[in-house]
Order: sequence, then C-alpha cells, then structure tokens
Amino acid sequence: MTLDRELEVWRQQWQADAAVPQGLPAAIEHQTRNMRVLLAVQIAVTFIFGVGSIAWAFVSFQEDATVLTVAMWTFLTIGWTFSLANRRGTWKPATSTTAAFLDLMIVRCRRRLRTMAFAPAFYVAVLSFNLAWTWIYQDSTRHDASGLWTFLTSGPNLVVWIVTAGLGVLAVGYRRRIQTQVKNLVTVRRQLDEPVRTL
Amino acid sequence: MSDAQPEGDGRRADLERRFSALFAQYGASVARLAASYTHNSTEREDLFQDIAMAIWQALPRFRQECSDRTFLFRIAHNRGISYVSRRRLPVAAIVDEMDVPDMRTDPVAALVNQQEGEQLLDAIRRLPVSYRQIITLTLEDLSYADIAEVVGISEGNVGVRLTRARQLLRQLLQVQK
Repeated sequence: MTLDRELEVWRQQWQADAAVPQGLPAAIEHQTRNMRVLLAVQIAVTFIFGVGSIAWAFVSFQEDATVLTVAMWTFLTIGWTFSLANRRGTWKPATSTTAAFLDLMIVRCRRRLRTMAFAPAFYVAVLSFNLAWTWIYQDSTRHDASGLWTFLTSGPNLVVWIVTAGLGVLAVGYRRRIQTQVKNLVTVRRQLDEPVRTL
Repeated sequence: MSDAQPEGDGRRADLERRFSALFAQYGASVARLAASYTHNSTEREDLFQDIAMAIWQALPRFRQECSDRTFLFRIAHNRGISYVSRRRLPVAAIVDEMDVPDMRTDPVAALVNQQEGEQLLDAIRRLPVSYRQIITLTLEDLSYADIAEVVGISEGNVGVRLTRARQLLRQLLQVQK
C-alpha cells in the first residue's frame, strides 16, 4: 500500500464517525445561566459585606461596627488588588494558536500557584481578625487566657476549625493538581519546539 | 430602552444562527476531535460541550481573521489540550519495527471497517498530544497552511511532524493487531 493510500484509508475510517452529541443548545443555555448566577453571587457578596458594613457603621455609630468596616474594606482592597495584579497579562482570545495557548495556560497555572501561596496567608489573617473581633466585641467570656481558651473551643468555633482543616486538605490537593497540570503543559509545549526525530 | 432590547435580541438571534450553522457544518468534526482526547463517552460529551461553550463565547469577537474551520479547530484543540493537561499524559508506545502493515481494505465488511475505525481512534489517542493534533487535523482535510495556522508552527514543521506522526501511528496500529 502506498503512503498516500494509507492516509486515505485512515481518513475514511476517521470521518466515518459522523455522530454529533444532541442537546447542545440546552447545555449552552444551562452553562450561560450558571456563569451569570456565579457573577451575580460575586457581586452580591462584595455588595453585602462591603456596602452593608459601611451602612451598619453609619447607623450604629459603635466602635465595633467601625472597626469591622475598616477591616472589611482593608481585606477587600488587598484581595482585589492581588487578584487584579495576578490576572494581568493572562487574558487572550480562545482562538490563539496552540503554541500561544500553551504559553498562556502555563502562565495562568503559575499564577494560580501564586494564588495558592497567597490565599492561606490571607485566610489566616481574615480568620484571626474575625475571631479577635468576635471575642473582644461580641463574646461574653472573660478577657483573659482561660476566657480565650473557652472562646476558641466553643461549639461555633469548633466548626470553624473543622472547616479550616477541610479547606487546608482541599488546598493541598488543588495545589498538587495545578503542579501536575503545569508539568504536563510544559511537556506538550516542549514537544512543539523540539526537533522531530524521524525513523 | 425599547430600541436597545430588540437590537440585543437581534444580535443574540444572529449569534445563534452563526453558531447553529457552524455546528451543522463542522459538529461531527468537533465531536471527532473531542473523541481523540478521551475514550470515556461521558467525558467526551463533556469535552464536546466545553468546546461548544468556548466557541459560543468566542464567536461574537470572531471577525473572520481566519477561516471558520481554523477558528473552530483552534478552540477545539486548545480545550482538548487543556483537558488532557489536567490528567496523566498518554505516552506513545514506540516500537522499532518499521514495516508498514498491510491494511485490510475490504469496503463491504462494515463491521471490520467500524472495528478498524475504533482501532485507529484508539491509536490516535495514544499519540503524544503534539502529533495527535497534527494527524487529526490532517484527517479532517486541513492543508499544511491551515494546520500551521491552528498550531502556530511553520508549514515545513507540519510536514516533518506529520511524517513522524504517521510512523508512530502505523507502529501503534501494528502493535494492536
């Protein structure tokens, strides 16, 4: 069999499968709706916590509300600043060539790894502030060492520790997945560049 | 407001029309490209939908800088690569034997054809991603120039890689038999 005949046979075998999965419009509609809901939730969270805390501070005129509002906006500013700086240069049309797309994906994954280094520190800072704020302004236990221990081991806070441990496990797993993805993407990118050895 | 709404609806209708036309013409090709990245039928369908979603999002910004096919296949392969990069990469089992096996070409035996089609797809899935992309685009009748435009390498490089991809594919098919 000649080489071109061989390719023609492969082409016929390949194109013989002409099935197209059904239900595409519904799936697109469903995914579009999900993305809109996600965006709405992000805006709502920022609005409720950011604007809500300011409104509370103005209405109550209490020290605790002011402290909470200042801290809330500090955390929101730090979070958004990091997020925007970390995303810089990571947007490109989905129609890029494979080589350009791989370069972009590698950068995105490395930025995600950077986020995974930032997020735990940010989480600890936010959690520490929330616990301190609650203990100082909202908790009725004595403000000494034994009172602090009682507060930290109370029912609601035990839930916080369990959730934190769970998030820690998830974060480690996610970080490993991203590391594997970077390794795979770099391998494919290298394949595109390296000279081809023909037999 | 009342003017903006029909204009928005018109844009949406136009987008839906373009999207449907693209998938009517190239849906099967996109499904085959998705199939070259996973053998699991559920995952294949998920990847197909993922590709369709990416095309739907990119379509409003598509200004015919390249052909419809190049546009579609770039997105399809980029999503496919993104998909496999999250998993362990398949590695081609390279054998030393270089004899080209005789292909069974009985056109009447549909079952044999189907079986051979499945074997071909399975062998393609085992190729390294960079070769897999070149061979699937070739089997979709894209020219060297079009493939170079999709992948982002020179036409000369496409030719060299296609030769190597065919050698590997032949060996994999030989091993399967």
